[in-house]
Amino acid sequence: MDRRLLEILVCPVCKGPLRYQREAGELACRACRLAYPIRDDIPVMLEEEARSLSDEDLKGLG
Amino acid sequence: MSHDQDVTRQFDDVAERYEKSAVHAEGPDLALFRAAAERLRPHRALDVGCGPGHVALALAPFCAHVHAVDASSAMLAIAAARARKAGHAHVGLQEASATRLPFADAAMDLVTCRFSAHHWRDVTAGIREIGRVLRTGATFILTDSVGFEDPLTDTHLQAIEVLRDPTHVRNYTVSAWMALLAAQDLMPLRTDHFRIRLAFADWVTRAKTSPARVDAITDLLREAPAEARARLGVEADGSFHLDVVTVQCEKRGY
Repeated sequence: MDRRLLEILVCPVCKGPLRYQREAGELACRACRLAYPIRDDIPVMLEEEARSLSDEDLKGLG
Repeated sequence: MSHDQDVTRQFDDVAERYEKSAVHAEGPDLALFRAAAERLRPHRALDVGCGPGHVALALAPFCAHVHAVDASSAMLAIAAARARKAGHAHVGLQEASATRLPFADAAMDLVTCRFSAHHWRDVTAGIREIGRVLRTGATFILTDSVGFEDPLTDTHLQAIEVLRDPTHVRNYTVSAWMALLAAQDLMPLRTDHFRIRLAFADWVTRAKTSPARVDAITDLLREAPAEARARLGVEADGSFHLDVVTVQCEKRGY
């Protein structure tokens, strides 16, 4: 994931910053508690395709 | 199934036909996008509703970064393969809805949108999003097929459009477009008008229109009032003509 892309890519719901989770291959939004998958190198920035983040996941985001 | 799910399913199903379609792959308006990018040399450009990537590939030689978004993963897969083949490593694809763009405010120096807006569930939200991601002074270029100001003709056009493709929402009139753009501080600088001929068999095949719906369109066109048939330029085999507009706008500050 290109760092420059992360500077302009935001959560489509709240427009807040995203954290790239390399191992999970996801982009996480702490505020919305959503993780957007990356499939075939294409970030899927759709709320209905995102995974809900658990309390555990949120702690992992640091 | 919701409209957005219908759109995704429809275009996942017929994606490769839009790669080959002459209306989409060529079209007299595409040169305007290329010329604008060549003139503006934007650092970061975004194509909304990119389909198989016709506009993104046209912009790519003139931009440092090109983003292309679409709601159909099949369309994005074709766009990705074409960008790779053309050697454009700076074209990035994101699956997203036009009405909820995943980009920061004022991140874009150029936004384009070609033959997409007539499928959007909420066009005001989509144009608002485009206005949001454009920096002040940046350019927005829109191409879409437009509705007729004459209600009789327009009713017939919208009817055949939605019969042909259930994900069709509306071809907006030029005056409706001007109001939509103005509401988001997008000031039209140049407007070009085109008239394109849609060959009937290609048009319905591209959308995988069912035989029952093809029959309904054929009936509707054949029995349409003479005024509507004349304005649509209906031919013996059902081929007809659509008005298309390209509007180049500047994002004004508040």
